[in-house]
Amino acid sequence: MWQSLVGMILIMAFAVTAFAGDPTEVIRKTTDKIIAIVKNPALQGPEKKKERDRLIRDAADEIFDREEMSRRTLAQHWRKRTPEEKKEFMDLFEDLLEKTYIDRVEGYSGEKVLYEGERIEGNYALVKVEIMTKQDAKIPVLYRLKKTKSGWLVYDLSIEGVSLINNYRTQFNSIILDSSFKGLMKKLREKVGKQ
Amino acid sequence: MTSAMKRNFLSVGRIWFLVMFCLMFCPDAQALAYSKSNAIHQPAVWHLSDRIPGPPGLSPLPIVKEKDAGIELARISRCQIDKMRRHDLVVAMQMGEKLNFFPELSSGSQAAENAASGAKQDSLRSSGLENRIQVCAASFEDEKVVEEPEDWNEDNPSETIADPLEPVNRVFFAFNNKFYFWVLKPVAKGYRYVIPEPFRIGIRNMFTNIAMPIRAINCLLQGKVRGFGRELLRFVVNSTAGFLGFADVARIGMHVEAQDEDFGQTLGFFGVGPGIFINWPILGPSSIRDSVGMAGDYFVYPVNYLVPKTGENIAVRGEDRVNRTSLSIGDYEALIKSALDPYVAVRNAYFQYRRAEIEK
Repeated sequence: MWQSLVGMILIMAFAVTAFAGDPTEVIRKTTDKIIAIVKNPALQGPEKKKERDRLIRDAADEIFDREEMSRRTLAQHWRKRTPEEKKEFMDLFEDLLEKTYIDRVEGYSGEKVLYEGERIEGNYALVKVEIMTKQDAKIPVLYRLKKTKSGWLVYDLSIEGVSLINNYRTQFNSIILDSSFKGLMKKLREKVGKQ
Repeated sequence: MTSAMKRNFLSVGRIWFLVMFCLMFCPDAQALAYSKSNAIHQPAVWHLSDRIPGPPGLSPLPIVKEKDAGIELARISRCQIDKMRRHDLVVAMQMGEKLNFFPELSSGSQAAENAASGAKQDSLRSSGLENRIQVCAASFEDEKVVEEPEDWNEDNPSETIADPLEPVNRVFFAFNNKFYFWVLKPVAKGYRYVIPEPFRIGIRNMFTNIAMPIRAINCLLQGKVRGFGRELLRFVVNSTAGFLGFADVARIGMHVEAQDEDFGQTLGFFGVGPGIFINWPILGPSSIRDSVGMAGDYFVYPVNYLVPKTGENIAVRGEDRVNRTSLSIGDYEALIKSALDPYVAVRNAYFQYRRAEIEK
């Protein structure tokens, strides 16, 4: 009697957490969605690239927290910026990230994605994923997520221990110190092809 | 056997003796170090509270989502950690402290002593000891979940690598970039065209297999005795059943993975910082610590004894490099393409990558 009651409570507790959208589930859903887009035979070929890119971008937009990413990338320079500058930076940085991301995803050729686990501390979470390449190598990927009003959103990912945001932060900081924030924006515009 | 070779073997023997001597006196410390190295297989969703069992005996095992030999291995190793008596852990930690193995623990030493005499769970929990054991049990747990802006101060030396040689490094970076796109990549592409992928993977495995002493010795130097054992096991299995290392049967059949250790990581393990960034021509990004590491590994890399003639040695190393490049065309390009300042991007990626390898 007692056991069954405890069992029911446990099941309910698990069900609730599952519906709340676990960080791993958020990553898994989007990853599956993007793999489906890349593998979709109706979207193959260079003439379909635009449509494919749009779909991938839409799927990725759902889980990436662009403001958090921008804030963390500019770090100490973020506070000194006006709202307009912040917005322009966010748009350009998003374009750059999307370009990078799409280039990487396009190279997908049947790699397996293994979900190794997650850790949650308050409003922050880590999700560990391993990508098995066709050449028999394992690439560890770590997603960092933050709980927001619209659920868990990714603000950083590390591939083989190299954090994307940390890498851009170092680059942007060095460019800002060498020239200025304007110089950084000019370089960003050139990079994403918006003069 | 030349006299130089003898000398090298002698010095290696001396290091071995030293290490074995140390290990004799500190048997449980390696078990801890081992569990840290093994933790990559963690199946996750563990709670910090069930890491150490209250009464001696087995604690509940983590929920295994997928049936996988790697996870099984993790489960077994987990059982072993759980079985270790609390007292042993405390003694091991105290020894480690005396040897200054864990400098960050020094403040918690009083608490550790309390735990040793009274073996009170609460005092153990409140000391840094518990944290350390937890960290040892899972490297994934090492990762900070919460990252706040205060952590990213660029002046913080632990977040960046010093680069006083930047002007020279940038020149060599430009050179290496050209070397990659004009020499290495075209050669690797031709090579890729001629040799089918399974053979290239096999050749890569052979080079990995023959570099066993580098990984095995550095496992030992870091007290990762099980890692050392795995490397020996892998070498025996792969050199025989795997046709001189061509097939990685130890990984496929027995789920025993290569340990990825080198002397630079050993130095890092003992707290040596990277020093300054050095971008070597041809060899690529490195640091003072890792350059010393490369020099150290040179003496235990068997290819240098099997093919001692400089010309032939370079040819063999070149084959290794071209073969590996042929399997990873596109990785370097992607990093360069996504960067605003490729030099800074590579420098930072190298720094972060090595830091993660050392923490493993």
